[in-house]
Formats: sequence, C-alpha cells, structure tokens
Amino acid sequence: MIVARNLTQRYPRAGGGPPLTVLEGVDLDVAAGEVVAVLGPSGSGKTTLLGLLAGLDRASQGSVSLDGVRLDELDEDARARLRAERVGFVFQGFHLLPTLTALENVLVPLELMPDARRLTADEAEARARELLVRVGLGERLDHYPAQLSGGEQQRVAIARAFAARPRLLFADEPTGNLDRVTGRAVVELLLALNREAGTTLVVVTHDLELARRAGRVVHLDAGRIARIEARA
Amino acid sequence: MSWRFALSMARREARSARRRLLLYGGSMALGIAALVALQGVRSTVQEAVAARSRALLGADVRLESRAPFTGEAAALLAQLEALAAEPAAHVTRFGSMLLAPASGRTRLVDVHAVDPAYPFYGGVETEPAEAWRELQGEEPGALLDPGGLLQLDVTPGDELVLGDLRLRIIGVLRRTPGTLRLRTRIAPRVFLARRHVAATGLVQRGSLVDHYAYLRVTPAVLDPWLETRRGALAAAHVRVDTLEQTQNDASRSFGALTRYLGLVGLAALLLGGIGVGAGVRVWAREKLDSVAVLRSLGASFSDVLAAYGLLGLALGAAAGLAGAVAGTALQAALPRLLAGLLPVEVAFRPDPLAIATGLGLGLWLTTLFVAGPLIDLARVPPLRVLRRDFEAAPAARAGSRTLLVALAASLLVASLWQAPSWRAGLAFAGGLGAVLAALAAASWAASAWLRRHRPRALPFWLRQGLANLFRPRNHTLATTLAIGFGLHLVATLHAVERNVLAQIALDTRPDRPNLVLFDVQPDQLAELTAFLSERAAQVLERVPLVGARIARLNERDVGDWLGEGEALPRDLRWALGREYRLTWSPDLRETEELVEGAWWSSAPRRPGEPAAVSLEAGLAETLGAGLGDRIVWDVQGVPIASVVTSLREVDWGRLATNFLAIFPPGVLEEAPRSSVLLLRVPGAEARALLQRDLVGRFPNVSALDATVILRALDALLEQLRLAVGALSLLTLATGLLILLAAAAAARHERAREVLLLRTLGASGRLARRVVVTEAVALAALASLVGAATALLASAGLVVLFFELPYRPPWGDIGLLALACFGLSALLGWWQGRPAARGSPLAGLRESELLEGGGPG
Repeated sequence: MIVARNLTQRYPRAGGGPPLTVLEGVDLDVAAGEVVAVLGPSGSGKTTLLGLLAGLDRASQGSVSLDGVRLDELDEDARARLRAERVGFVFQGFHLLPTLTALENVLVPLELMPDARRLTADEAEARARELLVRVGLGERLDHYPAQLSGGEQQRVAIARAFAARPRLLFADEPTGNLDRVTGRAVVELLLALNREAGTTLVVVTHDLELARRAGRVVHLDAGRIARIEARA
Repeated sequence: MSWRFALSMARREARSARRRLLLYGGSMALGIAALVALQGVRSTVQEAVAARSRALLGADVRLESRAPFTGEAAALLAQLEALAAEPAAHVTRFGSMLLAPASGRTRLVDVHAVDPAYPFYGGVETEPAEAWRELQGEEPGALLDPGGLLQLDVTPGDELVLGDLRLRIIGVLRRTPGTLRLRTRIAPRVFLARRHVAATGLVQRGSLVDHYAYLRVTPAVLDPWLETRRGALAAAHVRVDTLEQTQNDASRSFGALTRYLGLVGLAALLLGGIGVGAGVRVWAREKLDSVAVLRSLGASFSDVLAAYGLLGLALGAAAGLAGAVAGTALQAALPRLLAGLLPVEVAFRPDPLAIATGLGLGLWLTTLFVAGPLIDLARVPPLRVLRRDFEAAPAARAGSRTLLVALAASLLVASLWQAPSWRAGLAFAGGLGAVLAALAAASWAASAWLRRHRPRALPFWLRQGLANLFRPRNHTLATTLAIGFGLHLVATLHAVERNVLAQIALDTRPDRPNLVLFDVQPDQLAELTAFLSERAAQVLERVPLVGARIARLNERDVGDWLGEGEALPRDLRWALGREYRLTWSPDLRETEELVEGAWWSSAPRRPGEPAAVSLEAGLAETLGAGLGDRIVWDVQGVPIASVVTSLREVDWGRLATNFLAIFPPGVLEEAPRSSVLLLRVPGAEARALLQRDLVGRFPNVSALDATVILRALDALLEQLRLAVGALSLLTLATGLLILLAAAAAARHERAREVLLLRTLGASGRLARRVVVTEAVALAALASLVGAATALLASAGLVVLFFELPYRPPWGDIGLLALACFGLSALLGWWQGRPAARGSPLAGLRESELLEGGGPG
C-alpha cells in the first residue's frame, strides 16, 4: 500500500550554511490493512515522515508510492486529488473548520470526492450523519467546533477522516491534546472504525499504549529508522 | 474541480462572515451609487437636451449680430431666408432698467423684443395661456419672469415704464426657449412685441444690443450653405448658433460638472476597494489554517480559489447591485438637488447603461482588490496542518505585478471614462497613484524606522504597541492606506471647495462698490455726476468703454481664420469672434498684476507707431499671442494697430471693471464710447431710490445692484455646495465604513493577543493599552500622512487646475485629521475591550467562537 524508498528531507537554514537534515534514507513498506505506529522523541522526524508519506510535502530525495502511484511524479493538485480519493487524516490539533458545523465538517471530504465516486447531496448528508451518530455525536450535528469539547472535536475529526472511505488513514498524535481517559476512548473509536473499514493506518504518536495496539512500530531517531518492531 | 464543494464552502463562509462582508460591500456600494447616479442623470439630461434642442434654440438656426442686420450681414441673412421655409423671426435683446410706477421699484431687466413668428419650435408657456398671443396686440404689453414680478412688486395688469414706453403687464412667463437660469436671476426677462421697441428709445447707436434672426432651414440645406459662408459670416461679425451647438452648449457645462463630481465618486469607490482589499487580506490570514485543512483533505488550488473566489464575486455582485439600486434612487433625487444647474427639465428614468456600469465596476474592482489575498490563500500548502509555522512560498512576483498593472490600468480607464477630458483623466489617475504611493512609502518608512530604533526605554505597553507596527502580520500598510486615503479624499475635497468658493464669493467690504451704472454716454457724464453727488452716491471708479473686435493677429486675417469653423478650438473661436470692451488707463489697477513685459511710460506715442496694448494672460494664451505680437483692432470700423507690450493676471472674482485688453491713454479717446461707473451707495433703500430716479432722468443708463448678483450667485453656489457636500458625505461614509471594517478585522487578531498577554499575567488594562497604542500610532501615522497629501493635492488642484491662489485651510484640515485620529483611536480602544474584560479562559473560548463565527 505504501512504499517509501530512501526518503530524505533537508531544509535550508535561515542563516545560510549546510541544510538541516530532518529525515535521511528512510525505507518503509506498509501493507494494505496494516496498522503501523511511528514512535520517537521530539525532533526525530516523525511528523516529517508522515507529511511525506501522505503527500503533504515533497521529499528532497527518495520516493513514496501510495497504492502504486509515485507521489514524487505528481504535482500538488494531482496529489490533492489522490488525497481526496484515497487518504484520510486525524490531527493532534483536530483541525476542524471553525466556521462549519460538525455535520458540515464531515461533509467536506464527501464534497471533494472525484466526480465518479461523488455521492448525491442527500446520500452524502446521510453518510455524514451516520458517522457522527457512530462516534456518539448524533445530538451535536449543528454545533460549531468551539461549542464542542476536545474529545468531541477529535471524534468529529475521526468521523471526517472516515467519511470518504479512504484506503489510507494518517493520524498525527491523535491523543496528544486529550486527557488519558478521553484519549483511550478516541483510540478505541479510531481502531474500531479502522477495523470496520479495513483501512491502512499510519499513526505518529508518543502514546505507548496506542503504539502497542499497532501491528508494527517504527522507531525513529535523529531522522533515521532505529528499528522496526513487529507485534502480533 | 468540485463546484458543489466550492458553492457549499462559499455559502458557509458567507454565513460566518456576513457582518464583515456587509461592511466591505457597503463601502464599495457607496462609490458605485455615486457613479450610477451621476451617469444616470447626465445621460437623461443629454437625452432631454437632444430631444429638445430645437425647442431650446426655438429654430433650426440662429444668426446673431451686435449691430442691426445691414450691409453684408443683411445680404447673408437674405440668402439664408431664401432657403428657409418662411421669413426669419427677429428678436432684439438688450439690458435696461425697468420702472414699476405703482411700487416705485426699478430693476435691471433682460429685454426680449420678439416678432410674432418667434419661436418656431418649443413654444412659450405663459400664464394666462393666451398672454403670448396678446403680446402682439395693438396695446404695448409685457410678459415677465415670476422673479421679476416679485422684485418689482407688481402683478399682471400693472403698468411698467421701459425707456420712453409705457406698457402693461399681461402675464407671467413660465417656459421659453433657452437655458440661462443664472442670468434670469440677475436680470429677469421681459418680453414685448418687437414693433414697440423703437418707442422705448433705448436702441440707439452705441447701445449694447443683440440682434437675433431665427430661421427654419432643414439641415440638408443649411449645412452646405454654412460650410461655404463661414468666412463671410465671420467677416460680417455674424455669429451662427446651430442645433448642434445649442445641444453642446446646453449639456457641456452640466456634463463637465457631473463628470468632475463623478471623479469624486470614483475616488470613493477606489477607497472602498482599498478597504475591501485590506479587510479581505486580514480575513484571508485568519483562514490560513482552515484552508490548509481543506488542502490536506484533498481540495486543490482551484477548488479553494473557486470557493473563496465565488465569495469575492458574490461580494462584488452584491456591492454592485446595492450601489446600482442606491444610485438609481439617488438619480431620482439629484435633479431636485441640482435644479439650478440643470440645463433642461428631466424626467426620472433608470439608465440601464449606468446600472450595468455600476454592476460591472462592482464586480471587476472587487475581483481585482480581492484576487491577490485570495490567490495567496489558495496557495497555502497542506503541510501547514502539521507545521503551523510553514508558510507558503512568497507569491509569484509576476502574478502580483500582473494584478497591480491590471488595477492601475482599470483605474486609468475608469478615470478617462469619467473625466471630462483625457488630460483631466490622466492627471486624476496619476494623482491618485501618487497619493497611494506616498501613503505606502510613509507606512514602510515608519515601520522601518521603528524596527531600527526600538524604543527600549519606554514602558512595556508602549513598546509592545509600537512594535506591533512592524511585527509579522502587522496592519500598518493596510490601515495607513485605508484611513489615510479616506482622510485624504475628504480633506482634499473640502480644501478645494473652500478655496474655490472663497474666490467666487464677491467682495462685500464696506469700501467696495455696490452699484454699477453702465451704458453712460459721454454727453451724459456731467449731468449724471451732478445727479449722483446730489444723492450722496460716491463714485469709486469711472471707466470708459470702447467696443472693438480683433481684425488681424500678426499676419492673419481674423475673418479668414474664423472661416475654418469647427476646426478651430472653441476657446480660440470665442476669442477671435467676440466683441471686446476696451479701455485705457495710465496705471495698473488694483485687481491686476503684471506677469510679463513692462507697463507703459508716460512718453507720448510717435506718429505711425502702433499703440501699446496689455492683454490678460489667459486671453494671450488662448490667442497664442505674446509680447511683440501685433494686433489690429476694428474699433467700430476704424482699424487701430497695436503691439502687445505686457501681459496681466486679473482677479475676476472682485466686483471691479476688469478688462481683457487695455490701452495707454491717447489712443482710444476719439472712438465712440460709453462709460461704466462703480458707485458706493450706503443703504438698500437709498440704492432703490437712486435707481428709480435714474430711470426717469437717464432711461438708457442701466444699474446693477451688487447684492442682486450676490444673491443669485449664492443660490447657485449653495446648490454646488450641496452637491459637493453630498459627495463629501458619501466619501466620509465610505471612509467610516472602511475604518470600521479595518477595526473589525484587526479586532479578531488582536483579541487573541490580548488574551494571551492576560494569560501571561498582564492586567486587562495593560493588555488593552498595548492594543490602543498600536491603534493610536496607526491613526496618527495615517492622519498625518493623509492630511499632508490632502494639503499638497488641494494646493496642486487649486493652483494648477483652477488657476487660483491657494490658502491652506489649516484649521479645517487639522480638525478633520484630529477627528479621524480620535475616531481611529476610539475604535482601537473598542478592539481591545472585550478581550480585556472577564477571565482570560472565557475570553479565549469566546475568541474561538468569534473566529468560528457560528453562533454569533
């Protein structure tokens, strides 16, 4: 599902001098339906790796293929189309659109689906409602993000992530902004939905408990893969 | 691209930003309304003039001569009469005093002695309706303007005395051909039958009389005849008024006025545009995170641009629509506001072209002003969802340059379309560009200076507030442009109005003349002087007048020159064809200033040497004449050779006898002449009595009371003031909306900062001080630069365009700047208010709500 080869990311330094290497020579394969956790200390390159795997950024060197499509050969709009079609996200900061209600936030990926797969307005709304009911927010459809708690916002974000039935889901510290209890509930929900949909999940986290639930754990250190730990 | 997504997003964003969009749209709509209204009223006036040009002239063509049609003039008239459908209708017109014995009042009137056939078109409306027919009856009768009846305190049936003729008032004039409203205010019109004019004894050799011949000739016959007779007509001093000229004359001055006013509207629209651009830039900044999320969810650049572009287009369309509706409503009210300035009566009719222009301008300008911020917004990289500090690569320079060029080109095209001449359009667009550049430069310089000289010794709140002027995401440029340009427009308009109107207002100091007598014949001077001294009237000035025309300028014969007809510039045609009132004087007068050459000495002129002549500088420019050029004057048949020895600037705003051409003594004394006397007669009653007695003793002498001119001018100027005032108000309203929009935009951003400061331990008061300091500093910068550019621009306009001396209205501009500053500072206080109250946590949550905009 994901094939990354020799992924390297360098950023120019503000004051000149040699570029800052954030990620170097990363090779990674993720199979369809697999759950992979990326662990590592701050500054180890976790978020950079996620950005590159999801096609949010271009690598300085190396390549990423998603579902057989080479991301480095696509321009930004083509990568956006690919994301709309096959990729979902859950972020640490939730990143709900503040001017949209919970229902509208979940509708956005459905509206961005390519023409061939796009649902009618009624079908889209029905699916969004169904997902919000599934994450326990059936009564909060018309609430704005600012009217929801952190856990509720993350649940809306999870509903949004699954709305377009993506083949791949990337989660960046999904429990990072939540307390332990709420975090657990969100993880359970995320994994349950993932199982139901058969989605491939790559999750960047500090949360060891979450990492333990993954099939494989990739340990990053100083921009390189230190080790890959396979579980059950 | 997904249109469903774009439409849904645009709708959702519009919902959350409706208040701000209302402010932005409102500020654009006001400028559009002004343009639509002015264009609408101009086009309806043009249509009305075109439809009624025959009625305005009263014929197909009119020949005009200062002398009765004799000799060559009579031969030309006979030729044209032979081509006409019927004989010419003649009108003799002159100014004279009219006495009403019943009330004892006298008044200078504009006498029209008309043939029964006049006018061929348009008709004359009188009250009673049959009075016009009765005018040609056996008994001498008169028709008066309603104003004349009032001023003479008479009613129909009363008797009037005009020279030696006694005539009875048979009715009131309601509508006649012609458009000269100001003139009828100064001298009301009196119509009588032309066959009675000889009995007045007022039309004599040397009297100032216009002779008109009105004819009905089809254009197919008239045009070729005119084409071949222009030289001959000019040589015979016969002026020709055609329908086309009447049409042009009638709509020209009103058209120019509405076009100048339209430029103010355009400037207001530009101000609205700048405000919208500045506001949308701040708003787009708030949307960066949301757009990054959309991009990460798969929205392409074009999806985002379509969504927010639709919002921009909707804003432009709404502003255009609101402006077109408001402008059309204003158009219905304008004819009442500008009644005295309208050349014809107009009926209200919405103008589809004006409405379409308003809609188009709204859409186009909004698109240009919001395109930059929205394109930048759509370019937000999706990676920003993971790294908030990740900024887009700097906008492509070529794109920004293209937008700037498109904006400048649009401004230029709109200015050229609106301005009365291409020069005015270019100057206007260039001037606006220069002002905006100056404001931007001042904003940049202030930021750079503060960055380099950080005031470390100042208190925390002052340092933080000032530092906000150069920190990232500052509002310095946008606010300086929006507020500074708003103040600039209002202050410039006011300063120009003050200076120009101050010049037009007549001098009423107690030592100035308040009564003018003209047409005084040489043999009446001694008797009249005695008559005046008996009545304690002080003669301040006595000036001889000699009628003359220009016969040759250097080697060119003026008759031949005028034969070129329409090919000559209008001003030059006027200068070559007109009759001049010449005078002589040993000294320069109080209202004159020598600008070139030397004034004459007392040395007598040698025989055979051309006489010296001093020309008014503007006339010299029109004629293309300078020092040393030779002019031959036709002084009632006698050629007098002269050479230009000096040029003078003349202050025409003063009630004094001013002349375009002056000779030294010893040249014109032998020519037939009349005199003008400038008198000071204290008290309105004494002036009225003197005028009454004057009519009895010297029926040919006319008197003009300065207070009458003042009143007539005041009424007209009041309308101009109203029109300019209305536009100032509109600009001010736009400026206020912009100010509010800028403050509202900054409020969202600053609220978070205040809350963070409070979270870090700053008191509400301290946090608010930071915000207020920034607002005050920005207001001071914008007010200062706006006032300075306004002083420069108004000085430039008054001196270069109106060619008048400039007195800077320091006090007024200072007050305007202070008001602008105070208001901006007050809004700054308002910006920090909510965030400085209550608990920081509740505030942070509320600010989220504000940003979300949902429930609010």
